[in-house]
Parts: sequence; C-alpha cells; structure tokens
Amino acid sequence: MTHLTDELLDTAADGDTLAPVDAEHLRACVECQAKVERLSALRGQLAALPQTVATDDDLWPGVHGAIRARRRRRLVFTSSAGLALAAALLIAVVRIGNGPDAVPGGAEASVELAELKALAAPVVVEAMAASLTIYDAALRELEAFAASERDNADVQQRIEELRRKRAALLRLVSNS
Amino acid sequence: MRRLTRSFILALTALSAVSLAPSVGATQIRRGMAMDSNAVIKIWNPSGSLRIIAWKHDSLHVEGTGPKWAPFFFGGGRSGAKFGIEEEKTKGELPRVMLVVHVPFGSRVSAKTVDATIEVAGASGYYTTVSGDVRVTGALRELQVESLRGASDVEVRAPWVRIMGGEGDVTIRGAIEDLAASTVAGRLTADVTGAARARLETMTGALTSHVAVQPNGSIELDSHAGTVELVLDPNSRVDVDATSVAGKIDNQFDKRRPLPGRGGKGMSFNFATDPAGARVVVRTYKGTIVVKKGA
Repeated sequence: MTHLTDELLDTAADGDTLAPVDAEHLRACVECQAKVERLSALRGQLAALPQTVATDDDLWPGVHGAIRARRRRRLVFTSSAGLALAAALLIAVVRIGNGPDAVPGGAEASVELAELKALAAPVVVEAMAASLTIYDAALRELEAFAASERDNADVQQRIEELRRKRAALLRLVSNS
Repeated sequence: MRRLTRSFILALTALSAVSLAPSVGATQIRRGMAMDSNAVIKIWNPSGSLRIIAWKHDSLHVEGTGPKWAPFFFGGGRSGAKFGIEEEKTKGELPRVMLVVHVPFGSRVSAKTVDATIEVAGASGYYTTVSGDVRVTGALRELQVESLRGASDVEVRAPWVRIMGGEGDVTIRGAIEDLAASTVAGRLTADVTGAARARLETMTGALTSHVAVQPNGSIELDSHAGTVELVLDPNSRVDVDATSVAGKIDNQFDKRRPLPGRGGKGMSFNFATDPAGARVVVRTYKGTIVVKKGA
C-alpha cells in the first residue's frame, strides 16, 4: 500500500480537499490518519505560540552557519536541501508572525532572500523573490489600511489569509 | 522535374536522419518495463523537456536524448518506477535531456523539473516545476500542477484539479468538478463547465472566470490588486456577493448599480438571478471587479 506523501498529509491537515483517491486512502488508513492528527495538533500548538518572540539579534547567523556547514552544495531536489530550506522558511514565517512591524519588506526581505541563497538553487530563490516581493508589498499595504480602520474585520481576515498564503508559497519552495 | 523531386526527397531524408540522430556527445535513452495499470511513476528531469503520454498498455516506456554525461537512473517494479537525472552527480550543471515517456492510463505520475517544459496527455498526477511551462490535456482522474515562473495551460476533463502558479499565466479549460487555482502575478483564466466548486485567486494578476457552475455549487474569486472579471452566461442561476475593499465594481451584466463601501471606500454588489442558485463570492482589496455577460 502506498501511503500519502508529505504534501498530501499537509493538505489534509490544512483542511483542504484531497483528490478522491487520496481521500479514500485516508479514510481507510489508520497510519495516515494518525499522521494527519499529529500535524493538525502541531499546527494548533504553533497557532497558540505568542505573536511576538524575543530572540537574541545574533541567533540567526548561528543557525545559518550551522546549516551552511552541513549544506555546501546547492541542490534543488534533495530532501536535505528541502529541510534546510524549510528551517530558514520557518524562521521567515515566525518573522511574519511578529506583528505589523515585522512584515518583511525592503531590507528585511532581502536579508531573508540572501539567507535562502545559501540554501537553495539560484533559480528557485530568484523565482521565489519575485513572488515574495509582491506578497510583502500587499501585506504592508493591508497593514497600513488596517491601522487606519482598526475595526475592519474583512481587512484583518485578508491579512491573515495573505500570511497563510505566503507561508504556503514558502512551503511549496521547500517541497520543490 | 522528376529528378528534382528525387533529389529533394533524398536531401530531406538525409536531413531527417541528421536531426533525429543524437548529436555528437549525445546519448540515446531507451528503457521499458511491464507495470501494473495503477502503478506509481516518479520522474526527475531538471532541464530540457518532458513529454508524458498515457497509453492503453500496462507498461512503461521511456525514450530520450541527452548529453553523454547526463547521469540517467532507472529503477522499479510492477507497482512503481522511478527514473530521471541524478542531480547529485551533475556537479551543478543541469544536462538538457529530452524525455518522452509512455505510462499506463491508470497510473499516477509525479514529475518534477527545474526549467524543463512538461507536456502531459491523459496521465493523472502531480507535476511541478520551477520555471518550465506546463501543458496538460486529456481526461484525467486528478491533476495537480505547481509552477513558480512558468506558464500552465490545462485543457482537461477531470473531477479534481489543483493549479498553483507564480509569475506565469495559468489558463484552464474543460470540464472540471472541483477546481482550485492561483497565481501571484500571472494572469489566471478559467473557461470551465460542470463545476461543483471553483476557487480562483491571484495577487496582482488579472483573473477571468467563465465558469458554468452546478446549481448547488459555489465559485470563489479573490485578488489583492488584479482585475477580476466574472463572466456569467445570461441563463446563469447564481447568487452573487461581490466586495472590493478599496477598488471599484463595474456591473456590465445588467442595469443594477453597485453600492459604495463603508466610509465611501471600496464598493459592494449583491444580486441574484436565482436566490437558490449557485453561490458566487468575489473579493478584492483594490482590484476592480467587472461583472459581465458571457456569450
């Protein structure tokens, strides 16, 4: 029996619709159900984390140095490259979650991309940079709008949605 | 005249022979194996081109050309196979390999490329690329396409389709029951029939939806800054709820006028050709929403 891939387990944990054949497998497979439950629980725990995380300024260079030491070669399609990239992306996502002031953009986004350059193939970083720039500009725009209309639930919802989509984009890159 | 024709044919034959033969330093790939009709097939071809064709035989056939140094690998059994270019051995330079792959109709393919184009005919599966263009046709059980930079062109009959694009344009045609597609900056165009559920999203790319939805179905369109064009057939039975937070709404479907949004910002527009009809929700931040009549 072929179990669901990580991408499909992710999709199920996100609550998105699976292809009929995958949904059928998930209904019948206890092992995959357990994995989805674990992922969902992990998401819940992540969501419960504080919005602002105080870290030492010099934490990232250390993490980056450690990853870089292990990953000298730039590969696109290896799981270790994917994991290293995912680590960087997780940090990127935490940065997004740090509130309006922490929305990556300008200098901060370029730092994020510079770090990714050390981990992923240039072609991937290049492709992602253009999309991230658009997401970040949109986020800044929405944050500014929300600041002037604090009770606008629609805009708050859009911001949350955008953050989720940006994280999904980063996940797509880490899976590629 | 006859001599001229013969010379022409000879020249053409010689030219074809030269163009079909692997060039100097090139190698020919030719592999095959018997497989189950529902086998799982994984393909890795970073650069060049990849054509995947579903056929009625329970076997896998791989043919292609590439540079001699391209580290091609191939393995598997009846239930699954994995083949392609072993990237770890390419030392950074991606060989341009042209692959043509025949797979059983019922198989499930997962193919990844960096900049290689992907062309699929009738093979269900998951196709992902960084910057290659993707084209998929045929009747499929399921389809998932992801491309960060390339264009995706999908013309299928399928119950379930997911397409995630970035900068490239995404064009979708055919009969699709459950459809979700998105781009970042690329144009997203959907001309689809028989949808029970369709969710289309862009960030800045223009979005055109001409989706014939089932009476109890739903369509969701969303864009941050792209223009969203909702095309409805005159006999559509829909309940439309459109809102733009800071943009405009232009109703060309009938004479009703959209209303200004809260505090004079943005606009909203709600109308129903049938209150019990399919639910259509359109949202933008600042992209203009255009509602228009289809042919």
